[in-house]
Amino acid sequence: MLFKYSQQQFADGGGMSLPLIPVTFRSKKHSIPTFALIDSGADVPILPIEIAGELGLKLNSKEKIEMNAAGGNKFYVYPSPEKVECVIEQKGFRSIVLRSPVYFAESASTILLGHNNILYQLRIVLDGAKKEVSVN
Amino acid sequence: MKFKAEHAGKWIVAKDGKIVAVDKTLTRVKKQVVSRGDFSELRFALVPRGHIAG
Repeated sequence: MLFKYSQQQFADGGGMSLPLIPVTFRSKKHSIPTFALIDSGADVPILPIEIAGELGLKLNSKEKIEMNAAGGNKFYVYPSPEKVECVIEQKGFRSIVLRSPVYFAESASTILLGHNNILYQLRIVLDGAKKEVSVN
Repeated sequence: MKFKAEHAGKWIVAKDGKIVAVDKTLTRVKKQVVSRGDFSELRFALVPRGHIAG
């Protein structure tokens, strides 16, 4: 599968190109189709906590895990009570279906695809010059 | 897909690479689009507030 980077404009006139790919997250009862950022700097997939509600997942506040952000600040994530199906899709290609624990953050900046157990199962090539990402 | 500065920190809904709805929360943006006939073709994203790292 080959995806073009998405473009983000900033208020100061600057911008970034981001390797966002279409991922549908599925629990036993519900699903939500999203765009998620390939993030090699994330140990695990981190989703905004609103998605836990969409998937009908009840989180246990006693199981929160401390994470460290790149700037040194700490934040907390809550593990999903069950593995979630993560389906990467593109028309004309067979979907890639992964099952992984995911983690929910109250202050998530976006939907992040981290190494364990998403990126570890994929072959991803980030072509910055072409602003394309291939996923297999 | 292109995110404008005004989308920063917000949930968007997109179809075929075009943004069709924007709101501050996932619940609210979903309400905007849930009755659309093409709901099954829509995809949700949370646009970062600015530069991110980590």
